[in-house]
Amino acid sequence: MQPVTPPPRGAARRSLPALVLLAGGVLLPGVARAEPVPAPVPPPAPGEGSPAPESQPGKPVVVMPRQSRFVEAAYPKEAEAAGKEATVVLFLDIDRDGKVTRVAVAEPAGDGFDEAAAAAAAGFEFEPATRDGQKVAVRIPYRYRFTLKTVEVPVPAAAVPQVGNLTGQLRVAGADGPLAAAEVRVTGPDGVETRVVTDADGRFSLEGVTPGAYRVRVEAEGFAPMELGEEVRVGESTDVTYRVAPIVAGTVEIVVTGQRPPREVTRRTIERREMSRVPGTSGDALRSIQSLPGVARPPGLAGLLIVRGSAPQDTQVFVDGANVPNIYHFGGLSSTIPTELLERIDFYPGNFSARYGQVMGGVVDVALREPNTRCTGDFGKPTDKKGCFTGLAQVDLIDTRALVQGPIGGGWTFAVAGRRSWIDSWVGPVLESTGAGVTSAPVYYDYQLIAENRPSPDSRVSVRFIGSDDQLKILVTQPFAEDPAFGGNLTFGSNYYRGQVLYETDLTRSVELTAMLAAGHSGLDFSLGPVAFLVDLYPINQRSELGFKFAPGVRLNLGLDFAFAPYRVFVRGPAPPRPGESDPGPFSTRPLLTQDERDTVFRPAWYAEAELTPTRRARIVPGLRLDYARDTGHEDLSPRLNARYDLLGGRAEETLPEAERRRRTTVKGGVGVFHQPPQFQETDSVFGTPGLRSNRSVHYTLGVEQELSRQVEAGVEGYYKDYSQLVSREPVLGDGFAYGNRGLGSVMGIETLVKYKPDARFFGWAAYTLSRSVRQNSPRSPEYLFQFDQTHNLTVLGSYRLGRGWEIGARFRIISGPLNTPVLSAPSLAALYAADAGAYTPLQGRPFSERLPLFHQLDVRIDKAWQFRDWKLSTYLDVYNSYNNAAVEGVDYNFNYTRQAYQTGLPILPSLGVRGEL
Amino acid sequence: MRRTVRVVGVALAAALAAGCGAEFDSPSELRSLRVLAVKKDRPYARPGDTVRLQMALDDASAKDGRRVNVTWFSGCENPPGDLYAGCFLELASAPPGDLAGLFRLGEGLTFDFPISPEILSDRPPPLNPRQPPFGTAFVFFAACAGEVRLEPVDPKSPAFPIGCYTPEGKRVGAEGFVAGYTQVFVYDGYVNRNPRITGIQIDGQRVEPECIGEACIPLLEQELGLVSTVPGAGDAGAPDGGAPDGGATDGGAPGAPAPSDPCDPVGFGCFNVCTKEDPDACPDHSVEVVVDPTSVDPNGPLEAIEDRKILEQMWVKYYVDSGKLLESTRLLNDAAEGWNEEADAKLLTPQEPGLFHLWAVAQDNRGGADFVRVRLKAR
Repeated sequence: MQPVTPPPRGAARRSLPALVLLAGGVLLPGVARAEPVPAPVPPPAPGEGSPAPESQPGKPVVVMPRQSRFVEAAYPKEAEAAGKEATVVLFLDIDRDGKVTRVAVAEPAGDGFDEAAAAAAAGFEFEPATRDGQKVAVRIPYRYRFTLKTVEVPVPAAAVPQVGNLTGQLRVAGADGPLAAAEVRVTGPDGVETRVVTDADGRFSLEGVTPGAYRVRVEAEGFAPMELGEEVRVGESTDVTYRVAPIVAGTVEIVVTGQRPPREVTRRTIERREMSRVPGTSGDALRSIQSLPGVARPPGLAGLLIVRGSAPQDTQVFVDGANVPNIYHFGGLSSTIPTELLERIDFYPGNFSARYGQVMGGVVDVALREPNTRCTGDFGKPTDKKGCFTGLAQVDLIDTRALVQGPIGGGWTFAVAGRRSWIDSWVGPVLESTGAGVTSAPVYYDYQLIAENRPSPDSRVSVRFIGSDDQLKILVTQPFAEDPAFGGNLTFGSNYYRGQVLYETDLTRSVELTAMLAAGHSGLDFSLGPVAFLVDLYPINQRSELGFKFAPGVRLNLGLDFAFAPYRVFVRGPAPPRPGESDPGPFSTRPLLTQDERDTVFRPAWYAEAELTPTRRARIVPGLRLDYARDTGHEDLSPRLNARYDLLGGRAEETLPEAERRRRTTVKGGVGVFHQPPQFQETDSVFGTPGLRSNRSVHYTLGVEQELSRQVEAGVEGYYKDYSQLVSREPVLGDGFAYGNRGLGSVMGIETLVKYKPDARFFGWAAYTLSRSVRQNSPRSPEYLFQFDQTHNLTVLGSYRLGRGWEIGARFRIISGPLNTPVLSAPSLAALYAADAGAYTPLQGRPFSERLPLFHQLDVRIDKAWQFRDWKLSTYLDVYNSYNNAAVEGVDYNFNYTRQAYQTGLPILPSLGVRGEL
Repeated sequence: MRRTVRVVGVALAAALAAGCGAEFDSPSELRSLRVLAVKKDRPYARPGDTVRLQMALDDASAKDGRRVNVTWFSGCENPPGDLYAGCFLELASAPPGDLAGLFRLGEGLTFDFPISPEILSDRPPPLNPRQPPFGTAFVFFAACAGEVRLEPVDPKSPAFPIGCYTPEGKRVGAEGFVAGYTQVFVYDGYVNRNPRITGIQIDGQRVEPECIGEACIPLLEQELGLVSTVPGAGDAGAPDGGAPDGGATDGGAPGAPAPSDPCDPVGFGCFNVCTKEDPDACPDHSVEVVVDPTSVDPNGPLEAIEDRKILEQMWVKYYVDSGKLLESTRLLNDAAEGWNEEADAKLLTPQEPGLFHLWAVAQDNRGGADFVRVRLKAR
């Protein structure tokens, strides 16, 4: 969660002008004195920018109504005779013209005071409230005090009092309820500290204070301390709303509700606490995505993202907008960016914003966190001090990692992290025992360097350098009997590094700039026997976006997304088979083709997107994206439209008292066109067919979100994706294969999600997806189920803090079995003998026409932490497949395919880790 | 490009993350009718050449008097995608029962077939201008303990359109019917020699083989009751002159008689029968084929990259018709790393006494092959 601060550039929220006592005022009995209660500032809309203490761009500017006409109430005679005084709290509805349209008594006082106050208030006039410069109707509380002691003559608005007010409200970040009984320490320009405690509504008030700069510090048991600067001006009330983050196990959690509203139909965000605690993932953040609705289960531990029936290569992963080529070490062992450096993961399963392109499936955008330099006291107690060094070191069964963070000076902070696997120490002997000669056992490492600064409250600069390297070299002296060309020297090397600079700033009050530039290198070196594949790529990515607030409720985003990459590729091997095609026979027997090419990828894209909020309930985001790919010579135009409407609750009711707000019900929908260029080998002059067009998909989505409570939210979403222009191929007489854009397909499904948002104790969700994904290689060819189609996918997971450092979690999944292409059975011959390989090649039936048995699995995780005075020790045990279910992952055959048996997946697999943190 | 990088990595992870599979009988154990190799006298042919094919075959039921017929079908050149399945499209158009109208047929363990002179000019040149033009010619075969018949062809079905039937009309299963194919690459100017087997060792000592390469054909024909239909088949060298197989001759005298009893006198081919109940606990012996390392060719048509040499990938498969073999597929030569000195398998001695055979088939990734058989005995 991010605490809310006043809007950028220190503009304080202003309430009604205070009516101040004049020293030496004339005492007039029975004179009613109206004492307005500053109106609470409407908190930002859900997901809207709740700025960090240093404020964030994008927050709407709200100006409260200013009273221009006061009507004095008649003092009730009986009450006056009885010497009674009272305070009546009213709710005033003020329209866009500043007229009071409705008066309601919120806190009655009786004795005729209510009626008198209401009658007077009906005649008030105001300068109307504005939001981003547009007049809006508001409802404000108004306290009308009847007193007999002092005659307080209302001063004309033109008179300038010499004091101001500082008032505000504390709310709990995430849960969004008021924070009562919290101590607020206010230090004024004279250095005098005043302490107040928030009331039941989380409100505090300091009235008649000297104008100037104030420091406000918030402290509450179980919540992270906050300190902010506020400005009190003469004759004005500065009203603030702070969202205070709860402390979780000594670590300050940052909740992402501070983000701007999504531009997409659906954005699923995994928060830091969730990403490191999902059972069965060993704390790997990116694996937690595989437990979300709409994401199919990959085989084994493969690091594949299969989103809403799309192929794995149809989903892309970005790190703060820069594409990352290899998100997993060795294709699935561990992600290349450690969880400790991630702020959040945003996952868009479809119908995403026009800022993302050249992808048809889903988008995962990972945000790196700012270096953490917050100081902790004894036994990990959080303090409000910053500028300390922190670090951690961890060892588990696969790798060791370390992280150090701290200040540099001049406002800069840094984080340095590194990780190296040590599986080579035990995998090497295992491989040698199987007869393989090990030249270099599998080893990986990755490294990250982050430096950040906030030159001003409205700007942020971040410089990063990240990289990864996987290496493996073994000599397989026992080739596979089924394909003996798969033997001999096996070399696998995959590496990348990226330097990245991010800059975010508010150029003006209504113009924001976000710019990212990344450059680096990606390399792949793979060889197995005579087959070789070498790639050297030097990508430069640039992504910039200008956001213009033209008018209240109208924002226009213009963006440039640019990729330029010189490359060299060498390939020697047979043309690879494609899903849905029959087995082509052993690689040993197929002609080897070669390609050695140097060229440059140039793919610029431009996009424009509007964020329209015609009412506080509605949000419409039309967008248009134009992509060009020099390698294919084609351009793609992708229009998109997303919309959300709050039927109940939501932003429209944020100004209401807590008790009057209704749980949010939102309907949402979207339609959009998505293009994805062909893969390299599909347009290559040797392996493919130049001139192919991009694959095309149209997404349709319709759904409902329902807030069930502060912590629990549910959603149902239906989707349909229509594929056309899919790249497919056909064998051509005397000339290998010819590729074309003849493929078709469709995906339809329903996702349901019930989520308990993280709180101090628990987080969890239950997700169920029903879907069907089909393809056709051409309009004339038969339809078949997509390779990774999974009809049913139910995932239920949760993690609960027991106390005393213990936490326990479980994940249970029950999912449709994988698909298999059967071989022909008797009386047909099951396989042919490929004499040149000395092995059989199967004769197969319809592709992916056989569904294997249902998959089910339970993963369990236990954490225990010990907090010492100066450091913290934690351990975890993560048991994958805890009841050792023999899940069927495929089918094994004997040498001539006359017998078959199920191939089962990984057995029970415990993973143990130990971490120390300073 | 990024997606391709990811795909390779994912394939590796899937392999590393694989779980458990079933334990089937090893392909190295000969328990039924098996085709072991097809040797070509010209693994790389030229347009207009005639190529001789010779099949090494083993039938565990031959000793029971079963007779096996071998039929060949040639004539499929440059099929779509250079895939064997592309040949089925042509077969589908053949009139029922009239294979001879479309394919050249042959019988026996030896088969000669011509490469058309237009095989290179009939197809477009390679898209990579540095890659030499090539053609592919497929030959199908059916080894059948019965009678081979053409089946009705369904263009939509991948089923092989040849069946094997007993004289009574009953279909013969995989135990007595093996169908397959071999492929000949055609270049104009490139040579590919077969691996050259010179002998076999047991426990580090050379033993006299029964036969090597072509010399095995008459032996097999005699054992299987086959009569060669090709004049001169079984002789060393090509029937039409020229320089088959790059000019190298295989070792081993053609038709040389093997020792009648490897245990008389006792030699390295004589073992004590295994008396253990568990065949996996039987004593093991090292068996290793001896291949001439100079028979490894550079992979001429392929380009070397940077400083990497590209040679043939060569391997050996061992087979036995009694006892068991461990590590029965071994690397002989790696395309990048070169010769592998340790290419032996482990023979677990049989639990039944008697004579038995050990085969070793050496192949390369360009269609070259050679084979050797040795007679052994468990007493």
